[in-house]
Amino acid sequence: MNMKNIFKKENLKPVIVLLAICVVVAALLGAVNLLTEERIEDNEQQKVFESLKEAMDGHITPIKNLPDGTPKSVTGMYEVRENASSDTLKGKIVTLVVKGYAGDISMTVGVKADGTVSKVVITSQSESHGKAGMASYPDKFKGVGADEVGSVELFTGATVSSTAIRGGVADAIAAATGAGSSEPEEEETLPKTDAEIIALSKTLIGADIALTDITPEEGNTYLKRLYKADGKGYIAYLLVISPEYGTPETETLIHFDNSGKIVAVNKLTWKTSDAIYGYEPPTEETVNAFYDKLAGNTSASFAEKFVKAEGEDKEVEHVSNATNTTNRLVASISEAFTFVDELVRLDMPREESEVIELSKALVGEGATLTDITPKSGNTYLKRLYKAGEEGFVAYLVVISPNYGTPETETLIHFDNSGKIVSVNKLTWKTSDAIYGYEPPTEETVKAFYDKLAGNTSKSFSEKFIKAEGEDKEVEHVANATNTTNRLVASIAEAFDFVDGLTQTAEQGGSNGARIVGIIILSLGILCPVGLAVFKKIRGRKEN
Amino acid sequence: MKKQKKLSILLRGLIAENPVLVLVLGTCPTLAQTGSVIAALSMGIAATVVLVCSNVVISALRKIIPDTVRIPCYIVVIAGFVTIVQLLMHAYLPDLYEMMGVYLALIVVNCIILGRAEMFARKNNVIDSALDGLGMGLGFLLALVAMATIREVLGAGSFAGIKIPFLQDYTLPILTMAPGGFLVFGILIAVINKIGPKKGAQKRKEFSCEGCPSAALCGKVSCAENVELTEITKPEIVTNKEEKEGEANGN
Repeated sequence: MNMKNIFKKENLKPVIVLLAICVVVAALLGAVNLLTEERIEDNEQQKVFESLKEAMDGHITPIKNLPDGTPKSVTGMYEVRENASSDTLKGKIVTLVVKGYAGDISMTVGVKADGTVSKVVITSQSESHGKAGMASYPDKFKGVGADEVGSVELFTGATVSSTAIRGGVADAIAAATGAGSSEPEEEETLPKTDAEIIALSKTLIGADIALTDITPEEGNTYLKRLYKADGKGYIAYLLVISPEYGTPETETLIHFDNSGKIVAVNKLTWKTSDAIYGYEPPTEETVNAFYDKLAGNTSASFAEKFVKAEGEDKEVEHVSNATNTTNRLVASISEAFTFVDELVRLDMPREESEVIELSKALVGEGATLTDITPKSGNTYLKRLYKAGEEGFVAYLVVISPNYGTPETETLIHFDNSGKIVSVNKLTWKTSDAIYGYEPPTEETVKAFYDKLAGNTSKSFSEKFIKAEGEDKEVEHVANATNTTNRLVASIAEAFDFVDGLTQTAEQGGSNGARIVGIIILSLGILCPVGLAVFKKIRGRKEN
Repeated sequence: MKKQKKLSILLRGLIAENPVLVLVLGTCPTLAQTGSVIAALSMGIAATVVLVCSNVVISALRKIIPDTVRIPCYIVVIAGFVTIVQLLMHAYLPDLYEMMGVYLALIVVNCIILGRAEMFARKNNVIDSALDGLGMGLGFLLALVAMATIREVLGAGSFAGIKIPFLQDYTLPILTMAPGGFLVFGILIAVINKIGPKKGAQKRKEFSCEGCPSAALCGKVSCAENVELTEITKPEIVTNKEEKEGEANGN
């Protein structure tokens, strides 16, 4: 079929007609739906209420949020009053689903205000034993209170079913009277006391460092204790319980620095459970050799060297003859990394108020700053503020991987087009001195910073960023190449986020145009193709 | 003459060309919804409403809808009306809505509606199509109610939910179930064939294209030799001719 034919009237007309009819019908349906949806919802509500009325008659109102501690079998709860205007509660109706013999049993239980049952209605069940009298078993619960439920006799020949129903009634009474069965959280006992753990931590980082307990409430399986070591980073205490023996398999104490890198590891306990499989347990040296490889890793390098994804064919570090134990240990360390990384991401060497003050100094005292700091993807960008007409302010922090302390702190004012207006060098403490280099002079450093203003992300990439392997001259501070690279990386990150913000505003309008364009394009392609196929089939038939 | 013609269009669907008992269309809802008279009434009325509305719309659009997308257009229109009826019933007649269940939505694929759209609505004007729809719908309703009456009275000893005292002990429950449904259906067809007007209620030929929604599409290729123009199809042609004459006279 000729492409030119697509736009001939006879081929286009069917498409347009069908489309028009669909649009009109859809609009009509939308209108009717609008007209009727409220009524339909009311009717559905009524239906539910009608079935509830059997358990307890009266004016029924649903309870929106079930309180904590409501038994798991409860699917809904309703309050019943004499009539719509009465204030006194006549009772409650509880709907539940319990597990019976052959499947689920749905029941509705009416509980009077005094805590006794008004009626039990089985709304659906598949217990097909058809025992005579089983149908009237629910009636035995009429008038029964919380303490009497347990003594209602089970139905002989239908023990499982009647147990389930009895349990359901008990749950209903408990839910209705608010006597929820919430067991208090068990305090977990660790093989070491908090004092012991703190003492051990101090040997890792120094006796005079203050430790603050920041152990997470949830999401931690192995990370039993996490401490913030003032100025020095974090200490993590990890515990892995052997699934074979039920006793501690590994206890590990790890010191992370402020950038999330492992400084030191203390192997408190290593008791491989893999011996249970008949393996010769590894020697002390082998185990220590493994632990020695841990220090110096960031979460990225650790994942590369030690973590193998399921199905991945990769060589990773492990302790031979103790693979399972190693895997669990690695999992516990990964967990520690997850929490520490998040803390590092959020951590700032300066108080929030100070950062805001400094930002205002940069853009103008009268500016209103709105915090638009991204929630993820930012390593150096600790704060990002929108300063209305003035643009944006970015606060960047680079932690020295050598010292674990802030290497550079930079405040940058971007205008609304994403161009650098001015830069405030808050901190510059090159770590490259550690390599024996003569640190650069104040003037050299200042000269570098002066070159930053006026750059867009494009010109910045051109002048300051060299891709790996690229042979290009870029601006840098002599004798502080690594520090410069990290500073440049932090500024590049700021550009990424600011560019994203300045572009979205421009793009906003054109997104709608894009969608329309895509629809027209796909229609334009699909319809002629469909028509061509259709015509071919028709032609064949007529032959 | 015109009035006579209009009346005949209407009455045709009631007995002579009863969609269920003569044309044997829409048998699925017939068997499913004739267990009780109330259900039959709801189904019949809902289908009639949809039939009339869709016939009217399709007839009104018949000059605009190109042949190639004919069927999809009809289906969209029919489905639209069925959905509207669904929503209105759900909102204002919830009990009937519950009773009809899935069969309300299945009206969309009821052969009667698409069949009449194909065979009549797209070749005739709006008024005639409306009358045809009404006639066919009422015929459908009548057949349904007739079947339901038999099945409910003899099968459950009640009529429209009202229990008939002396029949209660002599019911034939099988009539309310599927096999009984087929039985009653077959007997009714036989009765209509016998007592119905000779002109219309002819024995159906095999491979007849009558009532087949895709008859025009397939161009009767596979069954051209087998199709005898029965009395049933003849009125169709006559109608068209008159229509054409009418058009020529500037109607």
